[in-house]
Amino acid sequence: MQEPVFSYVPGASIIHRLDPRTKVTAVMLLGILTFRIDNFAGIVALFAFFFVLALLSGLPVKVFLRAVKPMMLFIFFIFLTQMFFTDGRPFASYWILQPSLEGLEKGLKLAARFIFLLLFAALLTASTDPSAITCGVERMVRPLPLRWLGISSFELATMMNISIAFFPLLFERVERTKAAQTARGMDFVKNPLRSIPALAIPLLRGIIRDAEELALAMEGRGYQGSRRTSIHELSMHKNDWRALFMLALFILFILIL
Amino acid sequence: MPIILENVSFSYSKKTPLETSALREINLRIEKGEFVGILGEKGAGKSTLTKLFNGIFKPETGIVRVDGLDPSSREAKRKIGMVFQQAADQLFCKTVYEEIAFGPLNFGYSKKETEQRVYEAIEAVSLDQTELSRDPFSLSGGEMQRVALASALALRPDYLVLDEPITGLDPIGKNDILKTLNRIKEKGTAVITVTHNLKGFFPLLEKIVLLREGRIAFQGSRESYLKKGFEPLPPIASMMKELGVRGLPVNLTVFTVEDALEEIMKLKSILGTDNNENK
Amino acid sequence: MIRLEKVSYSYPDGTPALENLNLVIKKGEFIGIIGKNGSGKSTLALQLSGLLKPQAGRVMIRGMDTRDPSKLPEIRKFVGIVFQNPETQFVGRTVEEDLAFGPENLCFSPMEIRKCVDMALAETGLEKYRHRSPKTLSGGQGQCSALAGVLAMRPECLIFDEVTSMLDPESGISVMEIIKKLHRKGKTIVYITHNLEELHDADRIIVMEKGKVMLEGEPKSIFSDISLKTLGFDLPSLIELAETLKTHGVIIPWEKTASPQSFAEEICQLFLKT
Ligand SMILES: Nc1ncnc2c1ncn2[C@@H]1O[C@H](COP(=O)(O)OP(=O)(O)O)[C@@H](O)[C@H]1O
Ligand SMILES: Nc1ncnc2c1ncn2[C@@H]1O[C@H](COP(=O)(O)OP(=O)(O)O)[C@@H](O)[C@H]1O
Ligand SMILES: [Mg+2]
Ligand SMILES: [Mg+2]
Repeated sequence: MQEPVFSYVPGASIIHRLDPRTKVTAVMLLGILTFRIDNFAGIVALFAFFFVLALLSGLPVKVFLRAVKPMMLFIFFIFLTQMFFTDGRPFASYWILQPSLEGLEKGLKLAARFIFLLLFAALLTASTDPSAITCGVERMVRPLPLRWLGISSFELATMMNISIAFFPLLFERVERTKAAQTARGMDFVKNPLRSIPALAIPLLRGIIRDAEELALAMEGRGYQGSRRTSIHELSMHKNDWRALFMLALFILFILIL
Repeated sequence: MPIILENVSFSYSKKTPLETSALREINLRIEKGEFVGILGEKGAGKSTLTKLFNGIFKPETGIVRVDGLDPSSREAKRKIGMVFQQAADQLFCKTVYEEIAFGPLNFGYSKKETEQRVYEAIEAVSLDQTELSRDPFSLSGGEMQRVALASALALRPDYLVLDEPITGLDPIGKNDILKTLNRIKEKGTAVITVTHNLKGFFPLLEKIVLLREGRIAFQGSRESYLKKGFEPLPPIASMMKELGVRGLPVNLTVFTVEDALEEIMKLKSILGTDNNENK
Repeated sequence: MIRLEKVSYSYPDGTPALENLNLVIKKGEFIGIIGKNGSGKSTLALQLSGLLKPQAGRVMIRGMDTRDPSKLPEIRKFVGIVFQNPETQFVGRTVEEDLAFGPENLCFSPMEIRKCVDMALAETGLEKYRHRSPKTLSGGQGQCSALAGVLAMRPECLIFDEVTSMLDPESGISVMEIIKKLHRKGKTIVYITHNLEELHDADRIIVMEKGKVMLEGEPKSIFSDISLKTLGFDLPSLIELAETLKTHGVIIPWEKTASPQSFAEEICQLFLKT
């Protein structure tokens, strides 16, 4: 198994130690910002900012490459469509396609935006334990009136955590059922239509039973869906406020630029 | 014709950093009608080996042949019945009947022929006809295991391959499955089983294959396994071995309570001293 | 300290599971529970941990009635339960987070939670797996992690429902060793199993049948009770051998039937003493 994209890389850098709430807020703000930048100076400044953060985080370069690589084709495609299908002054001509200068500019900006989104997301997920993210999100949404939706922020967070933990089990289960069916003469290549319900039904029923057992185990360990604490110490330190202050300055700077 | 493995090796996650070699240079021959036990510690490669028999895994090197056929061919699949470790994940139909009929229908037998095979299979595992309309998911562990067994038997396999078939069952369920397997074997089907339960299985085993770290450490009759002092052993045999280690002249091939009794009484008369009375 | 008084329970679909059951569990006891599938062992375990509530009679856990919702957090802190399948007991992404789940529910502070987690890791010898995903642990380690998850809540009483039945013998023995260690440290243990060998050193064994207590006593007397055989149980081979030897005038004391080594040792003692 290869390490999945956007996985956590433990560390102790200044970025790692920031409160997840700070980081989640920052990534959300920076995400919005990327779509408001309209000049290349802004892009360069944003990249410089990212570069500084990445250096501070001490994360290996491959973390970021891995995040961008799978999307490269998609981004390139967006770049091309922008370039060819934006009206403007053509700078060349291939057959009926006439890439325009305006298109080139638009394409480059859009591609840069997507890449920024991926890079900042990778920075967040690689420098923050996923459950700390969940925990941070839980704290942030706690004041919202989620109870109207019939769940508490605690339940939301526990659900997020459990789905992260439970997911890999599904694959194993499918593999086991598949092996049992193959052994009894099921041909998955010849019968693709039959194979889907044949796998989905036992999977679903298995999940339901697992979920019942899990619910019992959770209750046995005192879970009630009400207030609970977390092993992750969430406390905004001086550094967090400093980081947020600097972020605000930076955003202002870019917007004025 | 037998199942033959020649110089077979197998690794998981080939060509990745997590590559694990599970089996190495396995040479094995299993005849029709044998009762074979595959023993070994956890991680020794037992489950992997069973999955090579019916082509779920393809060997990395070497060849596997089932009666001369490629194990992933349909012909070979029909000859091998498999019961995997987790019974619950092997049942996927709405009723027990459909479950057992799944195999025969897949191999294109007529409805009538299939029905006959279903009834034959439930008789072999002593399931009641009234259970046929039940939902497999509502069964107890022991019943699930019997349904899984019946669905393998419905193909009338020449070889029945089982991975820890009695793990987790209650004593009655265990004894039921043991008796059933013995009956199946008597009818001429080869039974090949992975097991940790030596107390239950040892009396049935004719041949033992012991795996250690992916290699065959021993392959041969139960008697020679005992004589050569391999482990694991059922409790009585283990005790006899301990007596041997302590220098007493004992027969190492003893593994039942009755034989052990006889053996110990023999020791008593040879050694002559009867300390119980002195005490 | 746990007392069941005339407890009856039927599942919502009408299946009767416990009938008029009386049972007292004393502090520091190691109680083994055996019985066929469906005899009500798991239901009893759930009653003992307050996860199910009796329909008739009552379950008192250290003076607290399990039907009183206000006592539930206290009861959860006091009794912990470990189930058969480790996979469906994990809620955390790493072992550490999984162990934190219980203390988090008890609303401990992050520092207290760390302390509980560290203690539970040390108790089960899982320190080096702290940051591993519990899913990647082997069966035996997984079950240790599930046990640690319960230990992190520092319960006085631990209930085990067939925790070794899906494990290979070696892993089963290592889990059993941890449980015995906990017992020596004063924890009260209720241990459900099909494997009678594991109950050799129990203080008391209870045999369940059709939702009732059928037999009850010390292992020594339970294992020599013939009604056990009529219930379909096989005695551990060494105990059976000792029993048959007794009828031939060779007496092997009970403690020596615990392992092949001690048994052989005893025979040598008997026969070679000249
Ligand atoms: N799906 C898998 N992916 C990677 N490694 C595996 C997988 N299944 C088993 N292994 C490894 O292969 C070896 C043999 O496993 P297995 O055949 O399951 O052993 P056994 O059944 O004797 O316990 C072990 O080292 C195990 O960790
Ligand atoms: N969730 C459930 N719903 C309905 N009936 C159940 C449920 N769980 C157990 N039972 C039934 O209750 C009885 C006792 O079961 P259980 O306590 O699980 O026994 P054991 O653990 O000894 O095998 C059995 O007849 C069983 O079928
Ligand atoms: Mg296995
Ligand atoms: Mg049970």
